[in-house]
Amino acid sequence: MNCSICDISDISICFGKAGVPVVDRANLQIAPGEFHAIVGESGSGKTMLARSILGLLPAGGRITGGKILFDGQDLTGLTSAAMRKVRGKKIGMIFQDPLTSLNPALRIGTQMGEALRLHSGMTREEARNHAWKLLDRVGIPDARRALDRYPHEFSGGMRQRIMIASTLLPRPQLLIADEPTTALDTIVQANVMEVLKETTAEFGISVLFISHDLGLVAHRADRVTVMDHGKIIEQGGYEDVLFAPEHDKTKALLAAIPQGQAKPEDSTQRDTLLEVRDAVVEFRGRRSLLWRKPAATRALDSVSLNLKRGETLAIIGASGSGKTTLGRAILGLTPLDSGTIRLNGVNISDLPRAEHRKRTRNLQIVFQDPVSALDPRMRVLDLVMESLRHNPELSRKVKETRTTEALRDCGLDDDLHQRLPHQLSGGQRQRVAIARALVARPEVIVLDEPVSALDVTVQEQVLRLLERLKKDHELSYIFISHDIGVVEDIADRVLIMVGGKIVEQGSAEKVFNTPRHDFTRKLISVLPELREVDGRFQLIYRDAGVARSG
Amino acid sequence: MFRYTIFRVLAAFPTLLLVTILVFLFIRLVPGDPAAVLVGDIQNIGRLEEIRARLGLDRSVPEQFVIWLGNILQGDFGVSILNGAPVLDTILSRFAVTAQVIFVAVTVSTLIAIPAGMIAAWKQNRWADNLIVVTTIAAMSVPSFWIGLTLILIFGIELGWLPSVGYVSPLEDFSRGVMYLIMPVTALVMGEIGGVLRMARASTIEVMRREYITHARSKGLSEGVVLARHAFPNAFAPTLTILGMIIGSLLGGAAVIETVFTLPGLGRLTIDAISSRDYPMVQGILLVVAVIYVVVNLITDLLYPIFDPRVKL
Amino acid sequence: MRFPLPRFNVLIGALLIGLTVIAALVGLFAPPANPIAIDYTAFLAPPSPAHPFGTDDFGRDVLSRVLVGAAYSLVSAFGTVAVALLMGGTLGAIAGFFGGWVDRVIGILTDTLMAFPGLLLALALISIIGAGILPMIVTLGVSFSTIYIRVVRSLVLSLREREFVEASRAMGNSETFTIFRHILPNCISSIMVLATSTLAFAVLAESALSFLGLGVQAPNPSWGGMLADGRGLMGQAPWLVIFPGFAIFLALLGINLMGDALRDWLDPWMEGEA
Repeated sequence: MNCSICDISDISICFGKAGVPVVDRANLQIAPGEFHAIVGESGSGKTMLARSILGLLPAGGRITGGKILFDGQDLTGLTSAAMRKVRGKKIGMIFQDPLTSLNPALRIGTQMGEALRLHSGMTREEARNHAWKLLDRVGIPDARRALDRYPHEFSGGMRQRIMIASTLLPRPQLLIADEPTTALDTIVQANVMEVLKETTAEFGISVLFISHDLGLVAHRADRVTVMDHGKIIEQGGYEDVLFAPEHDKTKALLAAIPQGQAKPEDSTQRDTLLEVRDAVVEFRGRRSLLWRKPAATRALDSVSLNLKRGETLAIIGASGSGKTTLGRAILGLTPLDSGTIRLNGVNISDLPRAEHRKRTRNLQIVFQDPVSALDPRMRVLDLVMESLRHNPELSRKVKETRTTEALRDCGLDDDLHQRLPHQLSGGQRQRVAIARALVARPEVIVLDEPVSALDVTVQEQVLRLLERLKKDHELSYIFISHDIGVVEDIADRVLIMVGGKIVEQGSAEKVFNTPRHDFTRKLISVLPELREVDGRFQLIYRDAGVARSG
Repeated sequence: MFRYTIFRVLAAFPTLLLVTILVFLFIRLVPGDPAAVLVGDIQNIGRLEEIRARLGLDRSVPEQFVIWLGNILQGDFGVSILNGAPVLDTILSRFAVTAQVIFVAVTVSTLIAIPAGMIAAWKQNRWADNLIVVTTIAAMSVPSFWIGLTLILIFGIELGWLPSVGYVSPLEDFSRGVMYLIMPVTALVMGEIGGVLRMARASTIEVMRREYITHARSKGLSEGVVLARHAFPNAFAPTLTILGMIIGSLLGGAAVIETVFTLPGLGRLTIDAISSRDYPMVQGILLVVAVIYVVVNLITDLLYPIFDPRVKL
Repeated sequence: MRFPLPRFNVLIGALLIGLTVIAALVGLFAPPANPIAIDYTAFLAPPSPAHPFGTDDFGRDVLSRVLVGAAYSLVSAFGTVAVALLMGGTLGAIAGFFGGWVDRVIGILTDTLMAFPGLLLALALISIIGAGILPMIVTLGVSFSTIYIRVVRSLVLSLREREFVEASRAMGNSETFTIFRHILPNCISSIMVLATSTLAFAVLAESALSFLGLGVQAPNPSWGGMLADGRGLMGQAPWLVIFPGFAIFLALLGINLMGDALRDWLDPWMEGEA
C-alpha cells in the first residue's frame, strides 16, 4: 500500500479504564484523490475512528493500539504541537451539525481566515480574498459580503457549504467529513453532496466520508468500508460492496434503499374515514411594536384531504412545509383558524374537550422522537396503559391485559414492562410509542416521522411492524415524512406539501413515476433506487437514468 | 443593532413605571396617615397641613401619584424626617461611596474569576480544577461580613496595618482613601467571587462541549487561541448576566459591609432610615436603587449582543 | 490525574449538615447552659472546660448560644425556601404552562419585584411590618420567590415543548392532569438543585439580617446577631466572633457541597446538553 496517503493499521480505541473497545483493530487505506466512505449505524465506531486520525477523541477516549501513517509520519505518536501542524493544514474536518459547528459569536470571514493565516502566514486581506472566492465557488450568494455576517444568518445547507469552503481553504490533502448532510433536508442534502464531491475532485483532495446511509454514499464513493460494533466487517470497491455484499449487516443496510415498488392506483371503493376541509392555521409572531399588528404566517393554507378506510396516506414535505402542523391539527393539538375536520362524518374541529376526547378515541398519534415522546420517569407498562385512562368502563385487570397484548403485538416481551425509557433501545422506544397508540384500538393513526430518528436497519423493522399492524387491526395511517424514500413501498397515496399548501397528490405510483410539481421532481430525482436487473443490483436515479451499474 | 438598542430601552419603561407605582404605594402600606408618616411628628400640625397641601393628599390616589411623580421628576424627593436635609442630595452623596466600593470589588472579582473559571473548565476534573472548585465552594460559604470582621481583627487590631473603620474619599486624598478601601473591597471580593467563578466555569464547560470548539481544534489552532477566541465570547455572555445580578445584590446588601467598616454609604443610610422610621428617606432609597438596578440590567442587556450576536428582541 | 472529588464532597457535606441539625436539636432540647441566662460572675470568660466557647459580655454561654443559633438559622432558612418555593413554584408553573397574558402579567410582576435587588426588598418590607423571625421568613421568601418563578417557568416551558406532554394532551388528558402527572415530576430534580442553592443564600441572608438587628431579635441568639454584638469587643474577646462565624461557615459549606453534588447527580438538563 505505498500509494496510500493515509494508512490506518490495527487501530483500537477504548473509553475509560478497560472495557469493550469502541473501535477494534481497524485497518483502512486512503489513496490520493480517493473518495472513501465509512458506513455504519450509530455505535458502530465510525465517528471515533475518523476523529482518532486528528487526535480529536472526546474526553476519556484514547487509542490503545495501532498506527495511523499519514505523509510518512505516525499521527498517534505526535506531540500536540506537531499534531496542530497537521490539523487544518494537511487534514481538514467537517462536522455533522452545521448549526453547532460554526462559532455563533464570530463572523464567517474571521472563522474562515483563521486556519489559512495560521498555516500559511497570509495577511488578513489575502486570506479574505481567498475566502470569498471559495465561498463563491461553493455557491454562497454575495460571497464578499457573507464574510462579514454571522453563522445564524445562514440556513443549515448554506452553513454546511461555508464549512466545506472553510475546510478546503488551506488545501488539505485529506478531508474527513462526519455525516455532513444528515441534518439537512433531502434536496439540500443532495446539493451539498454534489458541491463536496465536485470541489474535492477539482482540488485533488482525498475524502473520508462517514455516513449511516449506504444509499447516499455508495455510488459517489470509490471505496466503501462498512463498520459494525467497532469492527470493520466489509471493505472494498463500491461495486463489490454494493453488488456482492458478504456480510448480513451490509445486506440489511442495502435493504433500506428503496426498491422502487410504488403501489398502483387502487380502484376499490372505500368509504371516507377522515376528511379535512380548507384547514387554515396561522402562527402569529411577536408584536414588534405595541401598535403594530403582529405578522402572521400561514402554517396551513386551505389544506383539504381525505383518508379512506384501510389506506396509508403519506404527507411529504421539507422542514417548515406545515406537514407536522397538519398532523397536530388533525389530533386537535393545534386549533384551526378556519376549516373543518370530520372523523366518521362528525365534525371534531370545534368540540368541547370531553366530547372531543370521546369522539376521537379511534384517532391516535405516534411522534417522531421516541426519546422525547415518552415521559422519562414512567415505566413501559404505565406509559402504554395511560392511553386507557379515559375508559372508566374497563377494570384495571382488563387494562393490564390489553396493554400486555398491545406490547406483545409490537414485539415487546413482558420482561420489559418495568423498564424506564432510557433503558430501552431506540427501536424499542418507538415500539412502546406505537403500542401506546395501538392499545386504544384506533382506526386512524397519525405517524409523525415515526422512523426518522432511527437507524436504517431499525427503520426497516419498524416499517414492517407498521405494515403488519395495519393488516391485523384494519388501521388507516397518515404517514408524515420529509423523506419520500421511506414511504415508497408502503404508501397508497402521496400528498406533497410546500409552504403550507398541498401542491400535488395522487396514487403512489403516479407521484413517483410522473411527478408534476417542481419540488416533487427534485425530490424524486435525488432519490436513489436499488433495482435488480439480470440478477445484479443497480443503483438508479429516476430522472437521470442509470447512474452507475455494476 | 440600533433597533435592538431602541427596543431594549423602550422595554425598560413599563418596569420603571411599575417600580415607581410600587414605591409610591409603599408609604400607603405603612399604617397611619401618610402625612403623619412623612412628617414623622404628629404634633407639628403646621407641617402636616403643608405636606397635605403640597402632595395633594386630599385628592384621589391616582392624582396623588401624578403629583408625586411630578415632584420626583423635578428632583424633589422630599426631606428627611431625621435632619430635614433633602432626600435626593443625601442619597446621591452616600451612593458615591457605595458605588466606589462595589465598582472596584466587581472589577477585581471579574478579573480573577473569569480566567480562573475558564482554566478550571479547561482542566475539568484535573487537580487544578478540583483545587479551584473546592476554593470556590469554601469562598461561597463565608459570609462577607465575617471576612470583614476577621480582616479587621487581623490587619486592623492585631497588626495595625490598615485603618479598621471609617472612610476617606480617594478623590480627596488618594493614598489614604485607598487604604480605607482595601479591606471592604477584599471582603466583598471574597464574598462574591465564588458566584462569578462558578458561572464562568459552568458556562465554559458547556461551551467546550460544543462542536465548534472541536472544529476550531481541527483547524490546528493552539489551545490558548481556542480558549480566548472561540470559548471566551460564548462563555462570557451568560456570565455577564450574573455580573449584573451581583451588582444588584451588592447594592441591596451593601448595608452589611458598610456596617462592619462603618462606611458612610447607601446601605448604612438604609439601615439608619429604617431604624429611625425616616420613611421619606426609605422611599427615596428604594426608588433610586431600583432605578439604578434597572439601568444596570439594561446595560448588560445592551452589551449582550457583542458576545452573542444571535440575540434578538 | 483524576480524584474522586464528588463522593468525598458528598460525605463532608452530609457530615456538616448532620452536625448542624444535631447542634440545633441539642440547642433546643438539651443546651449545656441556658442561652439567655445572664451571669455577671462569668463576664467575658475565655474558652474553658466550663464554657468551651467562652462567655459574652452578659456572661451568657457562647456554646449554648451557637447551638440555639443553629436552630434559628435552620428554621428561618427552611422557612424562607418553603415560602419561596410555594409562591415562586406555583406562579412559575402557571406562567410557563398557560403562557399568553397570564405569563405576561406574572412576568411583569417578577420584573418589578426583581428591580429591588437582594436584601433591599426584604429591608423595605421589614420597615413596614417590623423586625422579627416571622417577618424575616416571609419577606426573604417573597424576595427569593422571583428566582423560582423564572426557573420553574422556563423549565415548564421547555417541558411543554417535549412530545410526551403533547402525547398526554393527545390522549385527551386535562391540563391539570398533564401538569401534575408529566410536567412537575420532571421538574423536581432541577427544583431540588435550586432549593439547595437558595437554602445557602437563605442562611446567609438570615445571618446578614440578624447582624443588622432586623432578623432574630435579642435576647434570642442568632449567629449573625452574635457577630454584631461581639464585634465591638472582638479585640479583647475574639471568641465572640470566631465561633459563630465558624458555625455559619460550616453550615454553609455543608449545604454548598451537597448542592454541588446534587447538581451533578440530579440535573438531567446539564447532562442532556452534552
